[in-house]
Amino acid sequence: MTKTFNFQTISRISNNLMSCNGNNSLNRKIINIKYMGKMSVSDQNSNQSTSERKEDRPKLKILAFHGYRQNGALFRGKIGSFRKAVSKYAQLTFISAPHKVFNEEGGGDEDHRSWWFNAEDNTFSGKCLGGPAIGFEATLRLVEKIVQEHGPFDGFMGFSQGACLVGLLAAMQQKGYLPYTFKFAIFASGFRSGSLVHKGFYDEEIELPSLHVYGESDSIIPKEMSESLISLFVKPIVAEHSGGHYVACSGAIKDAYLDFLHDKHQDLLDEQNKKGKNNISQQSSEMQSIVSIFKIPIKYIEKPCDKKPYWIVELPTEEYAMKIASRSVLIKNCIELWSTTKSVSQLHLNLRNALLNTSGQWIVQKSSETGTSEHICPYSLIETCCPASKSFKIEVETFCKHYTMKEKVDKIETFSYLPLKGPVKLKNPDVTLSYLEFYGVDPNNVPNEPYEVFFGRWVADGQRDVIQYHSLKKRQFIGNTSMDAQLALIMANQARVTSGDLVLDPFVGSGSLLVAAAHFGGYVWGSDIDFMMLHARTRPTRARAKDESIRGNMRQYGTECRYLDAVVSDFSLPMWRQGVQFDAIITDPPYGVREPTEKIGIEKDNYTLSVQHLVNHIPSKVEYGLPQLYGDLLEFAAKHLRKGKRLVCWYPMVRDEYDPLDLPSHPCLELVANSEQPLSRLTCRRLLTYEKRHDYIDAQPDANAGTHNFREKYFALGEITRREKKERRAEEMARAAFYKSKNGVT
Amino acid sequence: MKLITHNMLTSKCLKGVMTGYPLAINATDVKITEVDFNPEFITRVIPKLDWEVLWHAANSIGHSEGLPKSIEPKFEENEDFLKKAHKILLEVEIEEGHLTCPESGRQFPISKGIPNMLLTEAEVQ
Repeated sequence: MTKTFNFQTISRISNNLMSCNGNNSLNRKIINIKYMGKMSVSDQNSNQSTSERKEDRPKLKILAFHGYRQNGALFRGKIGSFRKAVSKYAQLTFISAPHKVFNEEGGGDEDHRSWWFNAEDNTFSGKCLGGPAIGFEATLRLVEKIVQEHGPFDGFMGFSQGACLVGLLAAMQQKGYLPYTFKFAIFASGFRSGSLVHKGFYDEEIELPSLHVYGESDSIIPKEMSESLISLFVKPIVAEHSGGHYVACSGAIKDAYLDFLHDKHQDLLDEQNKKGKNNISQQSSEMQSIVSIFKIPIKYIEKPCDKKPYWIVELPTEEYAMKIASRSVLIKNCIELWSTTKSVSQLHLNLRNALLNTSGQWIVQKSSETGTSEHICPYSLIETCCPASKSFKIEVETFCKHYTMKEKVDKIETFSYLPLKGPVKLKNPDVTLSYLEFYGVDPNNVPNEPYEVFFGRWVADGQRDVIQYHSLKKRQFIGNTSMDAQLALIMANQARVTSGDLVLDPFVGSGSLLVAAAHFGGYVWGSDIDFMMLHARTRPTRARAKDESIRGNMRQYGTECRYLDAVVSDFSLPMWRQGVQFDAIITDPPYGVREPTEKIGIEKDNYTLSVQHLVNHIPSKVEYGLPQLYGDLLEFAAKHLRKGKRLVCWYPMVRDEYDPLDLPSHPCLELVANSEQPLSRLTCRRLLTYEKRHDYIDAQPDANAGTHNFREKYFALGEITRREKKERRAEEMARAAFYKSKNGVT
Repeated sequence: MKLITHNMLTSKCLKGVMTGYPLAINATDVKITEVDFNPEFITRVIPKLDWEVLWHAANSIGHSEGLPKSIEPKFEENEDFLKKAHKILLEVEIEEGHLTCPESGRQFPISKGIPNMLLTEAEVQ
């Protein structure tokens, strides 16, 4: 802590205390949303939810080295089955060797590459002994550069000459020659390099965990050569197959890869758990989105954590704090921090000392009693609030403990030594000073003295009143599953919607997400399969007003100018012109519980419609399974998002089954944030934020998204709990009757 | 339906239709609503449009008057041009009518300003 606080002494005016009204109340707020009518159940479990959040899909990063006369792309194509097999755990990066292999005519071939040559005529043979290693230096430099740009990598994987190279790198790492590290290696048909200059590398045992795969009938690299490489490793795992010179990936070999990578992946997860990366709360992901919208250089003085309702950060100027506050719906307010300590008396002491600190700098003092260092702010910070022309007020906020107005006034009186010359004004004063006492987050166990106290100048409030302004209670047009205003605003923040962005919601419903996106300046399109919904002709949730529509909602909030259109369409079929690119896609697809998951279709074969039925025909619909729907959604986002832009959507699931690896994925999209909202004891939905990282490539539909059949599970689980409930009630009644009769007797 | 939407819509959903673009417009009711002019947005959106399609669409509903046939060079500095683009993109709206697929002739109705691109179950088989 001392260390992190040190840069307070250097910075001028930059310490702001962000007081988010913490975890505690946020959770309650999110949980209290009317959803599936199971509020009572969900509330009990609210405390568990946050601790269970897991890191979003960490994968092992592996750098792959191709064989002689191959290149990165070629190799990638050849080992499709390997890639597919390991995709659950690992993400492969392919690179090409720096040297072209010359053919007989003397021309260099782009497609054929080599990591080095071991004959004077620039060729390479694995069996050649005692030759040179031409171009090996360049390869080492290339790998170093790749690791710097795309790394760090968890492991290296190589085939044939590439495996030989990985072996050399492993040996070099053992000797401490490499500027980077990798934690495991996979060899397919590996061997020892015969080059003279490489000899010296093989004189030491290698401790790196390794997996060796080779073919029994490999004629290019006979199995004896592979075995000689294996003998160097201390703990090798060996898998032999009956085939020849290729990257085998079937049956037992595949299992060997998976076992090996599973272990490595587990290590990675454990490591991240230790780092505490697991508890990424909704606040911090919202904050990160906002920080990246404005490109704000933010420094955390105290790492944000779930146990504290505030963050202490350093920002270059006050404007940045205001910018953050102008977007965030989760921040309560920002305060320029003058002093923070563990006890009230120390706080006053620090402030009194600050009045004498005319150095214009922060001063760090060692406190003799507690042994901690105290930070004294420069007088200049306080001075700006002192002139007689500036009216002021002091606000007292206590977290997790209630004080009466009188007690609060008494607390204010204790600051009477501050040289504030201006008049007190309770409404719109020029300066608001803020005094905070933090009593922890456990309402059942409140201490007498606060854990921490803060004093500073109020800078800006967050956007919480927008939540009230957008409240569904006052909104003109809402539907069955309209998104709560706060969540919709968070989603728009997550999607980093800014002024002039083109935003799409392909499952628009009553348009709550569009309202939020338009609030932040987005121009919005919506589409939905439900004709009646878009025309506001579904069964109303309350008395219909005239002219109800998504557009009407936007008119209500003064954002009609940013309404583009709503279109009735079936998301499973293409509608948008090729090349149309959106700046954000935010959506809440139907889960098949309160809104059906449907697309147009019919089970019958050779079905035709007669002409007289065509007018005003409402087409029949068939089930549009969630896996398929999310597969389509991610594919659509990969195609129609601008690079670097985001898809934000909800994903329903059964809580016990949560595994970050099973979330829908797409090679062009990266999951950047992921948080849970419990819906009931057993079910939840997760807010997923994907960012498009790569240009669209034709990808196979993701099989992962198919593992959750939410609808079926939801109702199956519901059955059990209903029966359980009935049984429990019957039992209780029986017991009550028993006691009654017993009491009657005695 | 606004013409900016028309500029992005296709009838690719139909079987056998390759591009399905541009859709022909048949408007029976066109409405003009004034909305705030945001030059920054218009400048950003113009490069994303197929301007020729926009012009022909405007022409087919009788609103091409004064609208240049092609994007002017340095349009971002030409406020007059941006205002015209703003008007045709965001203010002119087709309330009633239909869109027609250029390849199959299939019609998609527009009612209360909302185009209905749904197919029938017979068409998706």
